Amino acid sequence: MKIRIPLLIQDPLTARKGRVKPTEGFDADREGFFLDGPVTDRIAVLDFEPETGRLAQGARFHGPSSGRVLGWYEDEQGVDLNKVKQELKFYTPEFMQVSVFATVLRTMYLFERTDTLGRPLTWAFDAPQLLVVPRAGKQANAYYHRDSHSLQFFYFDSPVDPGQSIYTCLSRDIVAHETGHAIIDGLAPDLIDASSPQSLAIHEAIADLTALLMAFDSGTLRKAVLARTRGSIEETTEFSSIAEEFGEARGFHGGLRSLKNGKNLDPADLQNGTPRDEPHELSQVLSGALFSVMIKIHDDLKAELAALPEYAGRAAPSFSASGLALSKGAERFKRMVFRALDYLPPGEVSFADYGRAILAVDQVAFPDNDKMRRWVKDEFVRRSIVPSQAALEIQTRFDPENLPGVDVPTLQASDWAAYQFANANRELLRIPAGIPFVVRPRLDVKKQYDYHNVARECIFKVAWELTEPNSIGARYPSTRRVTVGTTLALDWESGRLLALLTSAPVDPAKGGPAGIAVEEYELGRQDRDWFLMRLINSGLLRIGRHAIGPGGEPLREAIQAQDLGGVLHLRGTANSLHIVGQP
Amino acid sequence: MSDKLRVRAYNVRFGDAILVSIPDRGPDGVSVRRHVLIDVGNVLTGEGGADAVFRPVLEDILDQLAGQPLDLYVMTHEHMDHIQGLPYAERHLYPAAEDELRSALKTRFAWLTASSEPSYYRRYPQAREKRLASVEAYRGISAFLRASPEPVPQAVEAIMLNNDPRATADCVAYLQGLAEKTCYVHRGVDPIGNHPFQEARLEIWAPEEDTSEYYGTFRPMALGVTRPQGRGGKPSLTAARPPAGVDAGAFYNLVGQRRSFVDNLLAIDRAANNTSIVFCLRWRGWSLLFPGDAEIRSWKTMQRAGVFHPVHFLKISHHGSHNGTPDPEYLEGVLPLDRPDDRPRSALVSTWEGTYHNVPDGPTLKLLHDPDSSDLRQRCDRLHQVHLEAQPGAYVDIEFEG
Repeated sequence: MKIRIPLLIQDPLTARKGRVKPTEGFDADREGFFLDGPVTDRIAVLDFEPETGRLAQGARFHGPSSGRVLGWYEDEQGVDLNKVKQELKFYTPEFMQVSVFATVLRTMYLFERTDTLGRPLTWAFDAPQLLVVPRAGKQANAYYHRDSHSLQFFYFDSPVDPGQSIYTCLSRDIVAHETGHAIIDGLAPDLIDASSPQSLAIHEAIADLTALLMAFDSGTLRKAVLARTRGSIEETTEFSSIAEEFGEARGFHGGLRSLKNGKNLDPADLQNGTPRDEPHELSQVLSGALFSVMIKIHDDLKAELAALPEYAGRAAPSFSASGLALSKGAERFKRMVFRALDYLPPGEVSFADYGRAILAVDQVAFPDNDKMRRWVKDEFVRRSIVPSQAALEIQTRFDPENLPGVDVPTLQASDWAAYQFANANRELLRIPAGIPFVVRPRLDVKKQYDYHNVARECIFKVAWELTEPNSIGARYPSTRRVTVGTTLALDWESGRLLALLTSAPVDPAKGGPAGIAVEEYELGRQDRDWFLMRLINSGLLRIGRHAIGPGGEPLREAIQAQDLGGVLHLRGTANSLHIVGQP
Repeated sequence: MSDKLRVRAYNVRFGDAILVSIPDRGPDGVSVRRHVLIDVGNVLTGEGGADAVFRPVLEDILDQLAGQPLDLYVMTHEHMDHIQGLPYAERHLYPAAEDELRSALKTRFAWLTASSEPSYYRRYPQAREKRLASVEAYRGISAFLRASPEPVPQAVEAIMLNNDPRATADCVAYLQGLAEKTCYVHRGVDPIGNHPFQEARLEIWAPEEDTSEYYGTFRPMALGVTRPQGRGGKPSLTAARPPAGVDAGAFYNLVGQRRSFVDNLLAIDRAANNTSIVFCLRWRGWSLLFPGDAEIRSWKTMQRAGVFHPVHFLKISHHGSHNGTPDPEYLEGVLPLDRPDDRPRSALVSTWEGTYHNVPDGPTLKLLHDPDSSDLRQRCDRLHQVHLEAQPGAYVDIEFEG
């Protein structure tokens, strides 16, 4: 069944400035069923009344009338919520329920398309439905919470507009960002428990880029903005500012975060040098780098298209081509950003790991066009994410001799075969001898290569644990557990190794296959030390019973840690940071 | 008359009562023995809250005063385990006449934490906002616990009773009327004129006048409780049922997680602890530090304010909790490893176990007991543990040569 639902493409108060029409219709067609709420097999909007905790009546589902193909949701009075155009009506519970539902669903579709991940999403928790709470309570926050399978959107009083509340569920950016977190958690579940600030920052950066891609995905917004900027995505905040309404209400000029930034990891840069131990700040280094790449993609495509006869004869060829360039550029950018999560090695990962995954994804799908890879490398070096381009060198499409005779369908289907395969290929996978490992569920992925061909890959991930020194103070265990791992991308048909990415450190002096440089790993270890000390300082990291409340239940704001025989184990780092922090 | 300063720490079970007796020499060379009483109270539940201890404690205090006035009473902060002792004793142990205990104590000066001053929250709107959020959170939790069919765990009950705003207000009202002169204390208040000492000097290290910085953020709670209109009614829990198509297990898991209140409950508890008066008593070359129940946030603020200097005696704050027992970075400010003089250094801790959630903290206590691995033990010559050295109602004395 197919339904049409209203999607808010602008924050209500930003829309008040009259720049762009705030809603557009979205046709959802991949759900098994639609019920009041809205509720589907994958999403359930649960609108608890903030004062009483009672479950409010959900928006009513109306199947297609005779002669119509589209179903819709309506309010108590039977009004089709697609017809709501006035800002005042955005604040009715039913509109909020449907609007947040539409944005969550549209964000999911963004990832699932064949030109991106090419498969239905799965959650990191063991249940089919993501629960969405549009009015979770009064505070300036919103978060994804794995343990309760939920996205929780809060609201708060506007400091500049007395009597007006800011509802985070009505912010396209915030809803897309939090949905992004839920999706990323399903794709890279180790990140949420990481102790590396860069791992947590990757979560944030990709969630922000999800919001950006949702903005690019709106035809209405694209057209309106490009018309005003004469074809530029750089000269406007409508794409680069994350959560404009929320940010301005909280005193952040121009949104909560800006993707258009010069932030970097150069400690000598007093203006834009970013501390390495605060994930939200740190995320802007990565998202800023990738947004810069997106601008280059767009400018390049504009120039390429403008030279074509169909544009060259127009009064302003570059401007005329800017819409198509943005549409195509965003697709390629999206592939790069999201598919890299599939290629990302398990465990604690750095920006450099993510960068290598981006390059590998692009090199496998677009072997003959390395422009974008060059831009990525330039940005990573320019922002001091890596010391030189050599740190981003990757190999793809390995010689078949590297991995002869792989039976991919059997690897995919049998856990035992997958384990045997990993055990037999420890050296290739960088698994140290004698260390136990876990093979993660394999992914069967259909992807578009080269804009046209659809290829099938098997993503094979194996993870293991290392113990490293934990230099964070005498009160704490002297070592800590760190998860690392390797990802293989295999061609489904031939079994050929397309890419290998690992987060395991390897000392080249000791011989053996290459992993990440020991220096890079050591820098990551130091980052973890600083970050954990910061968490201790702010009272967030609690070990054992200190993380348990007086009734015996875990504290929600605490990062749960365990001292297991002198080894520190962490859990739920990102969740706790979100509960106490900002979207 | 003895020429020693004496710190007498009473075992009041889970709580504090400390009498400091100080030979105070005037300009004429004549010494007078003066007394400072720091807190009297214990929690209201469990074995740590048995009130019978107050009789021998009060009897001893009055014996020590020997008919002379109590020179200074210090209420460090508004928690029942620090404030309820005197009002309790007035009502139950000295009922012969109204104000019998108050008259017997003849308190000259009282120091109360700044935020207990009646007009305080009118002057500090940010602190008021935080305080209101704290009280609102408390009321919500209280209503939820009354509505819930589940029994309230003893550890939760102890924190609730210790922080009950109505009960603490009653006790504070009593203490506000205790002395001839009441001073509301924060860092920056000039102690001169607010105590009777001629020789001993007092320094106030904390709290800051604006207490808003001691509060964390209270998270919204979705307790699903309907509070009664008017008096006497019982709050009720909202029944929530999963709508059609929603997995019941996931739904009830979400409802349960949204009803979590313990983070807020502990935040309420911490905020009051961090408003503790922290003061240093300097006498004839000795420095003695009494930090009430100051937790990490207060220690951090004091460090930032640059008030630390080496002391010879430290009363460990907050009964041996993980958060109150200062970390080495703060200890270095008050008990530096590189000692500035050769006077002995000691610490005192009151640690009644089994009553309060995670207080005292087992691993922290274990560390304190182990001279080899304890940072504190390397900085102190002696650690006094009230509950190991004295029976309930009895005391531990620590003396400082004049």
